[in-house]
Amino acid sequence: MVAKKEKSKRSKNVEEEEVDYAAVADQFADLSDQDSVEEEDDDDDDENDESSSRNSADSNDEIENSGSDDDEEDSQDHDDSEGDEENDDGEEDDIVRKMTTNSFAGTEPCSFDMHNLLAINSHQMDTSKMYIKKAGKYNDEEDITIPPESLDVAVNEKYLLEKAASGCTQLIAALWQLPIESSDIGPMVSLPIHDGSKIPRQLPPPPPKKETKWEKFAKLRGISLNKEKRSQKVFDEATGEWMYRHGYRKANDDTKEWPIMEVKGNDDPYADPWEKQREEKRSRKDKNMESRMRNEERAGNLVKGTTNKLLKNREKARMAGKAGGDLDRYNVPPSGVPVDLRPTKGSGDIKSMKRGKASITNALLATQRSTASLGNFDKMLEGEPERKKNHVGAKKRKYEGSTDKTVISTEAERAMKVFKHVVDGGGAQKEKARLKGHLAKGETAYDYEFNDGLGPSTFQKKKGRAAAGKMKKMTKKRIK
Amino acid sequence: MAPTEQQRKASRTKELSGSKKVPNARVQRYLKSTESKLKEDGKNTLLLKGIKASEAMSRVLQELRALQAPRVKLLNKKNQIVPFEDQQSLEFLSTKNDCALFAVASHNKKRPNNLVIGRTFDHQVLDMAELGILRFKSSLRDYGGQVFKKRIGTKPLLMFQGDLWQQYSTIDYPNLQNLLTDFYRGQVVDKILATGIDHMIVFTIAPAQGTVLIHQRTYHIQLKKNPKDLSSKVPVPLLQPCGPDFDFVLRRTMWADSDLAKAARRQPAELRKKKTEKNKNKTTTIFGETMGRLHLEKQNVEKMGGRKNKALRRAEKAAADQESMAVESELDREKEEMGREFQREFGFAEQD
Repeated sequence: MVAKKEKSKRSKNVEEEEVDYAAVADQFADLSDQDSVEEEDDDDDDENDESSSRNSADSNDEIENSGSDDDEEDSQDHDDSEGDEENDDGEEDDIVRKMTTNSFAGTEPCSFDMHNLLAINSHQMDTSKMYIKKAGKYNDEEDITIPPESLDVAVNEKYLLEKAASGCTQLIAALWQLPIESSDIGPMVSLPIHDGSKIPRQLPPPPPKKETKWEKFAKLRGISLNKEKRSQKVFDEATGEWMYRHGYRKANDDTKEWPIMEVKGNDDPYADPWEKQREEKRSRKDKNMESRMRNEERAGNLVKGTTNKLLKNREKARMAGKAGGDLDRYNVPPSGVPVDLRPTKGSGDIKSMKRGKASITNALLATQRSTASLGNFDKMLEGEPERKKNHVGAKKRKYEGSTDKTVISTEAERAMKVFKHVVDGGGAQKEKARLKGHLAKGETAYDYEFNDGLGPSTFQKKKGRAAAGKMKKMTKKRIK
Repeated sequence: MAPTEQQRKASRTKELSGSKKVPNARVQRYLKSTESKLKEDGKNTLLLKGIKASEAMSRVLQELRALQAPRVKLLNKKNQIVPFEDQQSLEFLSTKNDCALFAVASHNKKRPNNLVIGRTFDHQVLDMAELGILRFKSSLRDYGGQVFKKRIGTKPLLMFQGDLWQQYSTIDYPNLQNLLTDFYRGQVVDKILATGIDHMIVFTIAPAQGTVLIHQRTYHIQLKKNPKDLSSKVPVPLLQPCGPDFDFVLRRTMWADSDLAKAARRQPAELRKKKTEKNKNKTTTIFGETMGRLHLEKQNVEKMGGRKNKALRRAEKAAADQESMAVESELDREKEEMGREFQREFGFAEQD
């Protein structure tokens, strides 16, 4: 039954064709004839019998009598450890053989770590049997991925296979001795829980959950925690069903905003109950967040100091929000006052918005004279610097009366000039704009004066290598 | 992309402070899987290429990927990593990919066909071993289509042959055995389907050509009925070489110092081996009461001294008084008699 299951499973994985077991067995039979350099001819029969019986597919049907043959095996030509063992412990060997249900297990018992399905064969490896000295280059394996060019010896694959088979048999026998329970998939073997090889973990074990401040205190004082006393669900009067005590859509929710709010006890009837409720909720949320974060910080799940930082920032943001536009009043210089846009040491490229001394004094000068009397009769304020020659550069505009002769004659001209400026547009200014390209409609060089960077200075008559010019010998005279 | 410790803390801060940018449930489940667990699953492997990797070494990595699928990640680009000099980038990559095992393949003139196998603990490199591959026969390419191949995800049987595996004087071979076991053992399970065993990896160590060679062979297993004992249920395996086959030599190693090694192997208290309780003298009644029996030797009650209280003392005193009275009365009688006799004999009373 075991074999049948295998076949059905295997056939799914093998690429279409069914494997010819006999052919496989033949492969190994051939190998055994060729590679057995060390073995004597006498022993070949027994060795081959055992190996072929192990490797052939017909082993299902054959009932081998070679069990008895093994016991009688007593060849002096055997120079391997197996033979020695047999010679020494004749009787004991018998018993050992009978204990292991089959003699495929070989004579080298292994120790096991069943948690990892590991077998350890700590007997010495017979290098004379294991390696075959290469005569020249080993040509059979040149086309494998990494050919054994630097290896002087070739490995006797058959020997390794035999040893592997014996170890595997023992391991499977050990596996079958573990408790087996049958499930709908098949027989499940329970492996031992503890690791015999002591393989290290990938991460240290999770630290035990640290107590919160309240839990610590409660433990100290012998107060039982609410979570041990309270049930998860509570009966809700309004809906008449069992709802969760905490969280979204909880039972008996007083914190909702109902259109009509009761005035309870000592509350001020003129206070805004909805505002009050919102405030309370906000404060509860903040408190809860803070205490949770502090507990986690204490436990080590957060970087130390994040709570304080976060609270500070929140406070700052709240204050800024409350101040609103007021902040600008204190932080931003008022419009109209010139600001010195000069980069400071720390700001780098960003120009500081500090009030510069130079432009302030200029602004002050300008304001001082910006009266009809050019500031001559204005009262001096405390701390105001002296007005020195303020009227330099400042011209008083002449009063133009409408009945003045000069005004009447020139007025029309002046007005027309302005009118023309508006209608015709520009004049000299317009010409400048056109040249610069501001009035261009299309994107051709004819629309405006395009500066392509070519001029008399950039003109080169000679091209290529000749353009570089002659290499003139650098003499002392030339250098000077 | 498993988060680093710093990132984890930052995201936790965001979560607690009420940020609305909490990741969705699937991401949260994945993040939880990257945290440390009480009982650990199998380790994931990261396969990398070093500074210069030949085609053959790329094939080696593909082979390892086939062996360890699906718990393996193969990265395609070459990395400027020299494992024995700088482990920082290795640690970073292994943390981010959530892989505790790694293998870096490289090829240069000084160290041809080089494979560095290692493992990490707590995002730090724990052990590393450099293996020089002298021969490699690939199961994907060199063994042909007729040979059975192992199925993806199956757990291998492992075997270490040779007495050198126990030697640790010059080179720490037991540690190497541990590392190789860790690398190849696959998923850690409590139960295994007995018929699901389909391959075995054998590591043979032997001295040869001046150095010590390690041979890794992989065999496909088919469980057959025991032809010599048809009644037994225990099957006998039929082994067929299916590859991959490696012949390698150990070049350099870097083992963790004893403190770190001990810390890495320390299991939490819940998982450590418990001494089985043999409470034969404890019984629990149906009401839930636990009764205990004390088994004592036979006591000589008569010779034991007991505690005396007032009543007992009084009784004793009374008894003693009675006795003394009885004795006195006896003496008096005797005296009287003797006096009478004296008088009879001598005629006058005895006077003292």
